Amino acid sequence: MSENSKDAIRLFGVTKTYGGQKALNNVDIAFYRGEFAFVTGPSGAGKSTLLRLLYLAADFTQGEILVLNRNVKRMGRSGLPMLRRKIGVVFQDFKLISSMSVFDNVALVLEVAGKDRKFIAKKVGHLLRSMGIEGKANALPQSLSGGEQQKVALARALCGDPEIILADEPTGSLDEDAASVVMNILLDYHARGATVLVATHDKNLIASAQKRVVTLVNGAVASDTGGP
Amino acid sequence: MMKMGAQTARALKGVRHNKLPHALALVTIGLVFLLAGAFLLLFVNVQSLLTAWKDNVRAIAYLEKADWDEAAIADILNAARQIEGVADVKFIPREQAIKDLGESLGAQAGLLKDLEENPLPDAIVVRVVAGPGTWERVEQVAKNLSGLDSVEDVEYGRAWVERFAGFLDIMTFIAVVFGALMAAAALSITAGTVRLTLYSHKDQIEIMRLVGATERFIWTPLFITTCLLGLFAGIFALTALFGVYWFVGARVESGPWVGDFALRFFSWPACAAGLVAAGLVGGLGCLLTYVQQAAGREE
Repeated sequence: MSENSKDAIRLFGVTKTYGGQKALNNVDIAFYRGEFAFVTGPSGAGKSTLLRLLYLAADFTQGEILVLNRNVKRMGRSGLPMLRRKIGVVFQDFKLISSMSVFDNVALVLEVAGKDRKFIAKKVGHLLRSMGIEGKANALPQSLSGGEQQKVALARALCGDPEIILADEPTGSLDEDAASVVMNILLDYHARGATVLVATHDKNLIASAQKRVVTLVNGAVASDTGGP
Repeated sequence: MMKMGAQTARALKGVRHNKLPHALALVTIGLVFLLAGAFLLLFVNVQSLLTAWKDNVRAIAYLEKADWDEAAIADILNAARQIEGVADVKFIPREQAIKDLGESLGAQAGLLKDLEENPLPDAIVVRVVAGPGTWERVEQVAKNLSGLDSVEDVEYGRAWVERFAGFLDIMTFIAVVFGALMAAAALSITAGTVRLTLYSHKDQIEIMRLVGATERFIWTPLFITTCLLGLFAGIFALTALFGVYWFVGARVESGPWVGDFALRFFSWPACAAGLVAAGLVGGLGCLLTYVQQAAGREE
């Protein structure tokens, strides 16, 4: 296998099994730098599993995965945090820290990267304003609506200016207007050069964006349309 | 790498956000330290009391019945002082001895008035040098005193000394075994409590990893938190212990203690060392948790 610097993400024959069940089955696929793509398919098709492997939250059973030209299987534990800082993730269940305020949840990404307080305050303040939740900066996540929590999760994912953004059902808990805001933000980051992968089963969202669509069925790539 | 001040600030922020688990851990660990400290303080005081008794061991050499003039008494005292292991020597004339006996008899002192003559002999009281080997020294001094021409008999409570030495050995053994058990229990309970407290951070730790936090970034504040937890639990235990000591001390000060014995609390350096140890025990609990979860992730 050769490393291709145009690839943001490349999977070679990746299989992931859970208790003998194949969640992903011999998947070969590449996502290019600066690309916007949807990963879709029915429930249990393997969308979330694929994203989990890409943000290095789970091991895979077989194959190789390159993320930003790094072979994740051969990467030591010390390399993982550095790579993760280049990936912004919007989790389906938000994964906000309940004991931390909205501001602290978003700021965490920058603290982890060792940014100074002044920079963090400015950057987080700007992001919260752009999401329309600046008034909730000191609130705890559990006091927010689902839509607001989604925005906080999105703000956290974008805060570190990641090279890759992975979003798992980012509009799942939002009304149409809020979903449109979130999509516009993702498209804006894509326009700035980020590679964006959105896992969703929202057909309207996919249709409105006119981007590449990878469809998974039973853990395998069933179709791949609209790509470069 | 973040500076220590920033890490400490994060640690304190974590405590503020999780007040209840930390408060419960503080009380639990504090009570464990209190028990361990109470045992240690009791041991220190009993040891001190036994040492005071031991250091107060005397041998009494009864002189032959004779009219000893001052020069003869000085010779006897000098001879006694020459014996190895003798700390000091005091002459008790038979008149003084009968007077002391009368005082100790109290209301029954009248019995002595019926005596035609004083039956008590002149005596010298010998105190042996305190410290290790006191029991052997007492025996040796008594033997050497018996060898003096003017000495008729020597009394030093041989049976009592032997019983006491045996008791001291048993007590030291029990203290060491019990102390080791207490230390192991304190460590285990503290580590368990710290682990439970850290469990409340489980999701937070996982999320921090996912956003690119290094293990050092995640665990340093937790280590600081648990060290502080140990330290404050130690302060709580020491304060409570001092309160008990002060309360008890005020009531037993005038008791029939031996020698120079007085109830004592830990010295300042011992308190400081105890607090450092308490902090380290807290930190050790965090390290154990880290090692366990790291091993779990490797599997």
